[in-house]
Amino acid sequence: MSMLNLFGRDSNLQLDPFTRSALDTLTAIPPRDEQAATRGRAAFLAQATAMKPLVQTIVAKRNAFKSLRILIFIIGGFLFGGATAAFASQTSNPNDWLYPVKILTEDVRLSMASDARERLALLIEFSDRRMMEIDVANVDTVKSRLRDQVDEALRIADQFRETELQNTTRANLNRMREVAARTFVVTATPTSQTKHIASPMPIPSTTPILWSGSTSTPTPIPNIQPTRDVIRATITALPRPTFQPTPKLRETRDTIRATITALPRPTFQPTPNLRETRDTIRATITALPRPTFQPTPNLSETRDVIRATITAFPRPTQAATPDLSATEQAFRATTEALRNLKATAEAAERNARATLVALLTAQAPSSTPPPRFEPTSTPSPVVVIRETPRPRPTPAP
Amino acid sequence: MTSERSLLERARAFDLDALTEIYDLFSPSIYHYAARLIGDAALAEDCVTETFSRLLHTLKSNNGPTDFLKAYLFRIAHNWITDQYRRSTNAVSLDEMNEEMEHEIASNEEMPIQFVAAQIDAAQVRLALMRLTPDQRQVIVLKFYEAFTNEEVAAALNKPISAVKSLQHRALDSLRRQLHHTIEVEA
Repeated sequence: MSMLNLFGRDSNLQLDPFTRSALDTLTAIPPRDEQAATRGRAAFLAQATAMKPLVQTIVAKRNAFKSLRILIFIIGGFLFGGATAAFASQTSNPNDWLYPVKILTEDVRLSMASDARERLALLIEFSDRRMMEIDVANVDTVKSRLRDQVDEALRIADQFRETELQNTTRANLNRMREVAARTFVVTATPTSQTKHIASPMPIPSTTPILWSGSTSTPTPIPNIQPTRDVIRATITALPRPTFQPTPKLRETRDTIRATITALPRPTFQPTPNLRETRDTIRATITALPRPTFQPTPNLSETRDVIRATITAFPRPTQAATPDLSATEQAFRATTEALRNLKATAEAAERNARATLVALLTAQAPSSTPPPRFEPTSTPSPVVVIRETPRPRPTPAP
Repeated sequence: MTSERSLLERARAFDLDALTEIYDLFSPSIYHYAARLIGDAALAEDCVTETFSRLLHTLKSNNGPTDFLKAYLFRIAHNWITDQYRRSTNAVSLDEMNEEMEHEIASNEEMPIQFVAAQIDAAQVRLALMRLTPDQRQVIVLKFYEAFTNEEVAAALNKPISAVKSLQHRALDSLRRQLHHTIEVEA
């Protein structure tokens, strides 16, 4: 291969002839050893073959982990997106594209309601929503859904007796009736079905709900007046019923009262036997002698003897205590005398010792050596002169 | 480029056919590159073996190039040669080169004078190349012997193309000075 051909690939290269000829000397390469090349190729393929199972395992794990990550990402995306859409859809109207999500979330909440009271509260809340949506967009689907929800709410409310309902539930029920009244005005002519709304009692289960026919196929609604003021005015104008018991009930009540009045009132009369017995017991008790406490003569005599003995016993007088100060002074004088006697004895002992030393010194000859000490069979008595130790004077503070 | 990428994808899965194709395609160039820089056939074979072994380990750990496979292989080979020279203290001594030439002269009976002159010139140029910095040496070798484009050289050096161009000019200046210095010393 010529150097000129190589340089020709890049027009920016400006090589002087000296450098070009110098580089040209390395162009020629000795031919490669074929056996060495074959050995290198075989070694490379053997290494690749040995690593292949391990690599396949690693790749399988890597792909599984990658798939898991993608799955987690997708699920997380769906959850996050769904939660966001559900949250954003709560304020949507029937014309919005998120409105189906709102309906779906309501259905889910209704299906998850475990209690009839909870379901009733949800239905009231959703019915209110439908009424507000009808104000914004008067759509048949919304009205049919409102009708279904009101029907179901009244059916659930019918399951409770008046005493079972708490204040809150009762208030919800009243609101439910109000919603039903609104719905009636909106969906039908007021004069035809006012009687259904006017009932203050819970609607019996056998009573058909506001609309006849199946709830799944609502009939078209002729006159629609969505204005809330009109609805309220209509409800206010409705006559409020009063509770009037039926004549049959009244007769029954009167009969019961007369029967109760005619019944003889029982009085408590004690039986004669009991009275006699009581009187007998009282007389017996009264006739019983009342015991009086009389001390026995022996005891009183004994008591008198004891008292006389105690009185005759000479009372101890307070004797004068010996004079301790005199005893203390006598003890001190004795101690002082003993101390003086001890000092006299010590002085006599010192004088005797000095006299003995003087005598021994005067009798001993100066030329003769002192007698040599030789042990004898009978030891001579040893005189031990002990000097009692004297207490050291304490230094003055 | 698309075929090279598909080849690399198959190689990542350790497809033996793809690996064989890669070896057959690039091992001669790697050998020539190593033999030209080192001047030793056995070491050049070692360089080829080590280069492709490192490629296998790189593919196993799911790393390595997605394109410019040739440039990537030359970068591995160049790093191996640089490390080899750093480890060897007397790898670039002229005395050892002369001993190798004497051995080759003894085995080559035809035109010994021309052969010796060519070997001396090659040793001087190789020595001058070895005195360059690794990047300068690689630019010159890849550009003037392996016919790499600037883009391929940039991929091999992991540098931008503008840096490769300036590096190439500095490499040529430095090589020229080294060659003049070698000739003056010989004179």
